[in-house]
Amino acid sequence: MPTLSFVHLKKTYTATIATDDVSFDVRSGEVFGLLGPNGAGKSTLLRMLMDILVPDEGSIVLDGQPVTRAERDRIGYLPEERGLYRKEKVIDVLIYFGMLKGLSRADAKARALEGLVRFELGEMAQRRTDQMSKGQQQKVQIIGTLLHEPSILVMDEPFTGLDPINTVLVKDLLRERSRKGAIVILSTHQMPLVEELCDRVAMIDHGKLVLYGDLEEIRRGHGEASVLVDAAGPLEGVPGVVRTAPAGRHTRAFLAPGTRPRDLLATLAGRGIAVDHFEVMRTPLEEIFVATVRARTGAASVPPPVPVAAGPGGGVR
Amino acid sequence: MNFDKVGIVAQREFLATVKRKSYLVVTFGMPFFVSLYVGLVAILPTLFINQSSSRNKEIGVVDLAGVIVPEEMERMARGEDSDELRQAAEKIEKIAGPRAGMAANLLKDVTAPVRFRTFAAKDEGVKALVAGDIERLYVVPADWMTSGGIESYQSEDAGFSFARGRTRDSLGQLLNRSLMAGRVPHELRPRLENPISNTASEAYTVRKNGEVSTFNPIERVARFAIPGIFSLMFLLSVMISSGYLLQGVAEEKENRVIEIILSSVRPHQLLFGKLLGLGAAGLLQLIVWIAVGTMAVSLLAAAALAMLDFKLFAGCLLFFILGFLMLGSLMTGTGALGTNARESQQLATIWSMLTIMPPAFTWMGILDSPTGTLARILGWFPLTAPITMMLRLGTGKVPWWDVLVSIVILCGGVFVALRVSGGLFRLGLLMYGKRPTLREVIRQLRHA
Repeated sequence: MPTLSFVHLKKTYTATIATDDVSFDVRSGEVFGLLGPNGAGKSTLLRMLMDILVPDEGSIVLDGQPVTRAERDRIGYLPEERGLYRKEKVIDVLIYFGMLKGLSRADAKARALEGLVRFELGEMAQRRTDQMSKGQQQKVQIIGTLLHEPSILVMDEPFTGLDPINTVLVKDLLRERSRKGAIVILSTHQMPLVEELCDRVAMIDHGKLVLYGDLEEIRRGHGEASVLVDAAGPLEGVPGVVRTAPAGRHTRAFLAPGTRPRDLLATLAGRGIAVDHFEVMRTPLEEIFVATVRARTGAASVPPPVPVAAGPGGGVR
Repeated sequence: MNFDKVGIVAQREFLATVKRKSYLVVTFGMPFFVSLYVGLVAILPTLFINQSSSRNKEIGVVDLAGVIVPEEMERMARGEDSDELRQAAEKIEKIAGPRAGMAANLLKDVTAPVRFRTFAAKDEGVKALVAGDIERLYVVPADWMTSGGIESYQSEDAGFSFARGRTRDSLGQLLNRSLMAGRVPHELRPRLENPISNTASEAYTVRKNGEVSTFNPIERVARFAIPGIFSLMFLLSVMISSGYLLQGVAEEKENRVIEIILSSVRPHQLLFGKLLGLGAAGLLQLIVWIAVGTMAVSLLAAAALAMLDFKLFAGCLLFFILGFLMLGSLMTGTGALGTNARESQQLATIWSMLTIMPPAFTWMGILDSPTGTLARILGWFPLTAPITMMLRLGTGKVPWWDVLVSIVILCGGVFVALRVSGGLFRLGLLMYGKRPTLREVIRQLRHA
């Protein structure tokens, strides 16, 4: 199973450290989420993978070997800063992208047409790109990224500008590529999408890797256990409940360490408090994300929060 | 370097450029407008000259020294003993016909016989000048035989005339002939007036092996015309193509398409491909201008010159191509650092200045001493080599090893320029809306 490893990557610009000793692995067959606030260093990492930027230290290896030029041609890369040649036909732009990835003109054309049909842009092939809507252009860029059926797929914020229907289409696409054994990296700060798509994640903040590993394990290691309750009586003071917070029509009760949801439910029943709704909450990734970033900015010199060890080379470095 | 990708980039850049409306308009519209402009510029002065030629051309003479012989004056007015220039002008008119335009009119104006009109006293002559009866008045003073000085009068509103110098020469000729009249045998007079006749003279070239051949003026012209034409083409094509290059780079930056491209090709491959594709588009435009425009003759002439001296032609072509790659890549690399097209153009101009200025200021020295230190330094320095070497090759005096050194250094220069510019290109292209600092540029150069 091929593994792409980012090993001790360091890159500094004149005044800022873009990435500082960042290491993590991405395995084939998984959708890997690369998270971080704006300016955290995600794009720098991806640009180093694409050899657009040269790392000051460290390397990127595929199964322990440096990534070759030919292997880089097998990467499909959708950068965050992306666009199309204006005033040119959609099909011509796609053929050019395909040929640059090593396809013959005929192959590039056939696959481009196929991709356009899949994204319901079949009639747009002969249109000029500047006559398309932003969302349509976005789809053309995605088609261009997939033309050569990449074995490594890197997408930086692929969902910006897409309507819900096309978002589903792209999500399916990412899943399909990973099922076929591709290494898929999704860089975004749309947390719900990461929760839905990714198996493992790495979070970068100010150039440093602050979270890394299996999404479920990160959840378990972070944030307090909580339940959503709609009860007839107050929850404050109930044993096992640390504090409460309103959550829509319900109340969110944070559980004391060691207290399981079923313990609380039993306590409530024992006290005769009627319960209309009881739901075990999974700590949203967004919460972990915000808490982690806040903790770091609040105490810059303090080491990053709870390290999460998972997978090969896991943990915070 | 993966030349497949260079080829793909070159092909796209070429096709995308030549298919543009603006390219077609400029390429095919330019010769039309230039022809129109040249036509207007050529026709207007011709009309003007026709008018001026029809003006009174009489020149007043007051002969206080008493030397002018009236018969000689009449003979001159009839155009007898016509000189070589006038013979040439008559020949041109015979070949080109009356429609030869401005050139024929100018020659006619310059070579028309000067008619003299004598006045007994200076006052009379001045009056005639004021009245506009004569164009000019010469007074030959009484002491002319000893002093040789004459007085010349013209009205204050006299305009510029090509014929002015000629009237003075004609007066000299009249005085000369008047002095000879009756004293020198008639058959000696042409030789006294014109001891070496150009039309009757012959020139020979002695080759290094001692072989003597008739001096061929066309060959001589070729030796200077080939480098001249190439230097001009070099400057024009660099200017045209660098415009397209900078525009293309600015557009890719603006379109945000550059990062997608850079994920598939190395920066120097992209740069090289662009250079080839856009260089070809620029050259095509230049050829169309030359072929379609009024300069069609010069293209034929260039072809003829190529046959005359193929070695020189090939040498100039090589320096043209290497020079183009060198300058084009440096201009584009530097241009990529600019935040907008105007800034890019300004940054890129530095290189064209460094390339053009030194040979432009020293070309006489280079031609005068093609193996001298100055010519050699400029010929070996990669930036100034293209134009300098074209000029040096034209003299035919530069040893082969000297040329080889220049080619090797220039090839090295092209390689370095492509690497360095590729690095700058990479740095500049990903900086949207801001310019990299000097430190970043230096760091990038170290990587290259």
